[in-house]
Amino acid sequence: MAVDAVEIAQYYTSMCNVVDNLNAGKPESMGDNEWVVHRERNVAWLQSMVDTQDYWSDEDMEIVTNFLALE
Amino acid sequence: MGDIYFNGSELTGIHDVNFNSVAMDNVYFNGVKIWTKHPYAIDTDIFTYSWNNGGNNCGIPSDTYPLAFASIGSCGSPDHTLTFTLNEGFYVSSYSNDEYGTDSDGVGASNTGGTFYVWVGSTVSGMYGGTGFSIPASGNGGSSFTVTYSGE
Repeated sequence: MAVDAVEIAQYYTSMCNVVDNLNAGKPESMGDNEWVVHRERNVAWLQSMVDTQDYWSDEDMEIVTNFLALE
Repeated sequence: MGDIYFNGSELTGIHDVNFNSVAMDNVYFNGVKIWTKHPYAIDTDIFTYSWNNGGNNCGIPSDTYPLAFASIGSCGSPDHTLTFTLNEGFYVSSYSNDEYGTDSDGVGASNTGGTFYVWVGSTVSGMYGGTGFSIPASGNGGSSFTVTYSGE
């Protein structure tokens, strides 16, 4: 199924938000183990979004690629 | 309705029916459909499952829809991940998370089968698997997904 521009914008925003949230560190409300799983899953998700999705065009991926480079 | 036989073999949903070496989706007799390889109409949403952070990932209806599942693991409470595999012909057509919204394109290019992971934490939840969703695998609040029959 084709992905439209609105959806692409939503997915891109989600990627940036995930990077911001992970960089902010573990929320006080989150347990240690929960944070480990949450972080691992979303780092893997970010990598898959960069590697496998072919709908990107002129989005600025620097925030994501810089984050992943430090992982 | 009784069983239908062709050349002594029962026509079931397990075996294909071929005509001139081409597998048929449906067999009609006098205009009446007497056999179909599809247990559901194409594009039928089979079920939607929702779960909440802080809850559990139990209750995925694998007993109600056994044809959809190749396997399913045990469920649990935070922090737990349940694994399930869909049979060919079934796919996750939609995945939503309270924080990040909806990926209604399911698993992207694939619309059949795949292994998925249903995660529940105390404050977050989510899922991942298949060939990848376009919304994050873990986010605040609850999540849901829909399994649809593609017949492919």
